Amino acid sequence: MKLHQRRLLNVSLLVLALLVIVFIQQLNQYTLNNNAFFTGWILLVAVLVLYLFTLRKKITGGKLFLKVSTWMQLHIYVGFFVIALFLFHAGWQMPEGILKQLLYFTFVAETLSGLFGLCITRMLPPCLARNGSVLYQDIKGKQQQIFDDVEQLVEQSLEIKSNTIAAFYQEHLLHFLLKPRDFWPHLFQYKKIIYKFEAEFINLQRYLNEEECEIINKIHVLVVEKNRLDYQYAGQSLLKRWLFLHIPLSYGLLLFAVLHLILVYAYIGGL
Amino acid sequence: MTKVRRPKRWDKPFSKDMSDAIVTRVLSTKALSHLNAGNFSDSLPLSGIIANDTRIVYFKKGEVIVRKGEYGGSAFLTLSGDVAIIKNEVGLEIETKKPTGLFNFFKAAKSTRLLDFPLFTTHNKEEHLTLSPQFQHFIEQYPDNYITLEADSFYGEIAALARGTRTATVFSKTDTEILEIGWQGLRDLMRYDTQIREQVRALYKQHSLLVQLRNTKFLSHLKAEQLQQLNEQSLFENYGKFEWQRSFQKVKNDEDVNSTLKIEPIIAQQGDYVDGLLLISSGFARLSKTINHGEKTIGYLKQGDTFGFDELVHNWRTGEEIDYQHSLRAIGYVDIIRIPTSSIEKYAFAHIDEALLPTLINDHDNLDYDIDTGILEQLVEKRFINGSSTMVIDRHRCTGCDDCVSACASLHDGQARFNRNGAHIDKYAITHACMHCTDPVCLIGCPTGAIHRSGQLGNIIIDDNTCIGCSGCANSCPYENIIMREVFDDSGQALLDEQNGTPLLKASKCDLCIGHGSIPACEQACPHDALKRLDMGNIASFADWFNR
Repeated sequence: MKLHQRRLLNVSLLVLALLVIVFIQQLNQYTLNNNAFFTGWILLVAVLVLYLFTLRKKITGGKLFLKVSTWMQLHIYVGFFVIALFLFHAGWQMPEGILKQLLYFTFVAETLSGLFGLCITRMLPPCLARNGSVLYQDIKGKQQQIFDDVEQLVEQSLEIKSNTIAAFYQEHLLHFLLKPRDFWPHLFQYKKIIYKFEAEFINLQRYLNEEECEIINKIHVLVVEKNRLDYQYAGQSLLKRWLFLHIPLSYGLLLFAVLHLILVYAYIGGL
Repeated sequence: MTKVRRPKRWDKPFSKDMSDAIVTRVLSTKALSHLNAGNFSDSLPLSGIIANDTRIVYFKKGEVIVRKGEYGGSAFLTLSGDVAIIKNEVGLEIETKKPTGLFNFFKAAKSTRLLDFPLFTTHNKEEHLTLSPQFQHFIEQYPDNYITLEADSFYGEIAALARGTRTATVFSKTDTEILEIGWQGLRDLMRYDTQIREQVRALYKQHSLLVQLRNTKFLSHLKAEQLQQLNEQSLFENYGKFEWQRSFQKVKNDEDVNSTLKIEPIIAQQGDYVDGLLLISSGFARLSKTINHGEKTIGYLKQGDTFGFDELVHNWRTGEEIDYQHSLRAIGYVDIIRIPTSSIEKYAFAHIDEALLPTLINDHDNLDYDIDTGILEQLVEKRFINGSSTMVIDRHRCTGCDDCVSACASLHDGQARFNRNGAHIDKYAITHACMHCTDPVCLIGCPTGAIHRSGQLGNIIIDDNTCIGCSGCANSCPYENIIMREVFDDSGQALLDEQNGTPLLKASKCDLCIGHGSIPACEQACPHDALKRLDMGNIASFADWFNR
């Protein structure tokens, strides 16, 4: 199945599921059944389905389970379903009471983190690929190699009795080369940093002889590469780190949801 | 640290039953009696090869010795009894395949069942597969369906030499005693003995020719004597080097985009007179068209494909004499069967239903599959088309979560069997994971047969018990997909060579998670549908994934 066909199928199923919910809600109104209980229980079951994705990811080599990518699709579209169901359940308004509000805000934060994750997992990989992929675990090693190479070139420049390049290195490059830099500017595709370096390199060349120019050109290439690796580091870090928000929030959400359920049944005398 | 003796070839022989008496008896058989032990080296004595790289196997009447389609890396020599090759199994097989996929769920299973009885009885691992009584009766009724092989003749050499599948089913006509020669033994016998080398090569040509002609679709209507005529008039040619990885490894990282093209011998040149039909018997060939001063790759041909067919049909129908419209080059090592134009016209075209023939040539660049030329060029140039389970990652979907690596590691004692690094072709990465090649050159030099094809699936796997850590396969793999790893004992201590204290190594690579489900763990674990194991021999299938 082509990806667009799959998307169409999933969206159709989602719309169908929501229509069924709306229909049952209408029916409940006529039969005087409590819609809050109906949507609440469906919501809890759907949220539990979302947790199954994490469980599936922990199982390797199973013959009976669907591929993780299929579970991921289920996770995404059940997630959308849960958002709509939550709005139905909450009655499109801010709830009263501390626990309900905690639950509400945790859900909103969880939803936003999920949507953010979905967006970046779809948008960042093509950008990172176009920039020339590099494995995350290799980035720091490569940057260290660049740092060592630049230091070596600077030492080379000192051997030819010139400290112009060394001074430039101390003033402009050392801080930049020490570790991954400019996390946020890279994420927003902010190119001013590298343009600034470009301009400084051009300016410096005015004061260098041919031998020094050769050295500074090599340093320039390494700086551009360091900047590229910084971009990779920023993008790939974000792709990994957003889960540190999404997953803990999901556990908080589950905790508040269970508390909410207990309290609801306690208040109606069901416990 | 634990010091142990470094494992050596023949520590684990092919069979433990090859006593000196049996070795002497085997060497006195007609086919091997000419062998001169003096021609063999001290480190690889003739008696050692027979004792360690061969084994005696007994088959009862009706038992299958080799099954068509299975992978095998050994050749056979009948010591006593009669064996027979089933000539044309095509159409007799019962191949039932249920289409997969959500939308194919209700489709009926595809079946090519022509006989309403099973050809073979089910077997367990202990017993040989056996012809079913009905099939045995059917074959005996129609003796044209098999060829009896004389005693003391070799067979099974095609799969062993071409590193591919068995091309025909061979069964035992009587109770037989057979010498099975492992690939390593066959290789060394051929290396040290000219007569065996010539004999096996001649058989390889003769059998390949027969098999290829028999399995070619538009020749299937020919009668036995017509096929025999074609067989006699056809030429068997080979191009490229058997161990092609050496020349490829020298040029694969060249910046000159034509460097690999330069080491590919030309089989047929665009513009040449169409002197015959070329059938690819084994290997891969690049199909290209001249554009200005360069060559544009428009596809590749593999075993069973033909070259020049459209031109021949066009000339035969119109009376014109157009030349070859494309060039054909050997990628690696290629066996070709060349059927002269006059023979093909006389035997094949004169009796064929014209509806089966292709239309006249108009524009040959419009091939059926839809894949970007740049991608295709690079896949061919870097020879990734050799892979039957190539790990391809769509970098526009991969988030670098490493779930694939973790899944692999969790099934393989905490050590992943691949590296996500690899060549970038357009938005795809071809990673350093064993591709389970159609032509696995890593197998050629293995001294013990530790790296081998699994019988039915054809996956390339390494037997840790027989791997001696020589690094031969890792050095031979042109794609750098095999790595050497240190070996540890049960307590986690590294094993060292007792003589020089260096760490003992074993080759390690992807085994496609044999025994852990039909889809490898890496592909199963990818949450973003970014990773797929693709059969690059099936251009339509991978083009489909590329264009999803």
